Amino acid sequence: MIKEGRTVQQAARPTSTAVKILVAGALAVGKTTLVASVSEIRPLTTEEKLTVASAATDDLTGVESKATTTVAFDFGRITFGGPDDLLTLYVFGTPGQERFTYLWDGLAAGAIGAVVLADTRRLEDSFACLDYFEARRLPFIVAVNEFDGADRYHVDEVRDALELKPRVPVVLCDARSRTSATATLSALVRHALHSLPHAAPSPLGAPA
Amino acid sequence: MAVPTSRNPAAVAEPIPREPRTYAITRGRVQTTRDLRLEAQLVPGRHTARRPVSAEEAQILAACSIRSISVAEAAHTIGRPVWAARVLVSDLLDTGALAMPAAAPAPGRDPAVLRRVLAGLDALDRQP
Ligand SMILES: Nc1nc2c(ncn2[C@@H]2O[C@H](COP(=O)(O)OP(=O)(O)OP(=O)(O)O)[C@@H](O)[C@H]2O)c(=O)[nH]1
Ligand SMILES: [Mg+2]
Repeated sequence: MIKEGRTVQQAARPTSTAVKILVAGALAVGKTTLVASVSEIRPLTTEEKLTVASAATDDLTGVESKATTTVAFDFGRITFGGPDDLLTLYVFGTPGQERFTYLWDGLAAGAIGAVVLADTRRLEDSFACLDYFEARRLPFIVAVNEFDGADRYHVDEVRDALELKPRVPVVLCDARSRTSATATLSALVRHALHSLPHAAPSPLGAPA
Repeated sequence: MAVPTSRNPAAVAEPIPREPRTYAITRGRVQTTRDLRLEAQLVPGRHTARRPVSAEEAQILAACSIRSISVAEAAHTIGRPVWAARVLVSDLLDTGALAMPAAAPAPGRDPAVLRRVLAGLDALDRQP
């Protein structure tokens, strides 16, 4: 596959590993705010074109139709390590929750997992998002973004209301706080680590 | 407090027309055969000036000469959608002007990588 000479050249080059976390959830739940809180740069914005399969029931002809939509999304970045062994964590805020956005498998492919932000005043808006990550078997946690004026609930009440499996972590967060937002990402990465098929419990040394 | 939006503001119904059109920049192509993830890293390649590059290609090359950039950052850099960035990046990889640094095949599921991310985040968390 790779020619002998090139392998040697590449081995001498610095490595650059990149991973990503998705921040998902209903409209205006604080996704962009969380991305901005954790990012070491001002969040960047770009667009992608998605093919949308519209539901047959919404269609007068009963035929499934396809359409193209352009969605904007924002993302931030946290870098660890030096230039020789750069590790970059990208945090992608998914576009506001509409069913079509969850057809965007290219966004989720290869992700560490997702933080599903939830607002206790409209928890039902989180269902489509939770269903998507469950179906994709992507590790996710639920982070309750505690808006001012919203009633405070215990995490177990949120878990019950969302009908979450016991292994799905639920955390409280303030998306505006860097400390809180960073701790939320940590909770996801810890959960993703525990969700690996043969996760070695020892923090020392990587498994072969 | 009222929810500020009734419809999805993330969906741009009609992209703002830009000159030249994005299709012109990609010379009519909309996709590539390469699997280029949003986070895939790009670095300068060995063959920097094989052929004249377009303004957008030059912007991507300049951005990654400072530090490696992702496909998503390449799209942001040229101010064009990700699909267009993928087409240009793919061309630049073909000519050797860009390269992708060796990386773990599935870093998002690599326990060593996840532990490094966790340690990094926890260190940030302790900073004032
Ligand atoms: N009180 C409070 N307000 C917040 C919090 N997080 C976000 N907000 C506010 O809620 C509003 C929506 O936040 P965004 O971060 O734009 O939400 P979003 O999920 O990116 O929204 P869309 O991309 O439109 O779906 C903004 O006015 C934020 O300032 C929070 O933790 N507490
Ligand atoms: Mg947003």
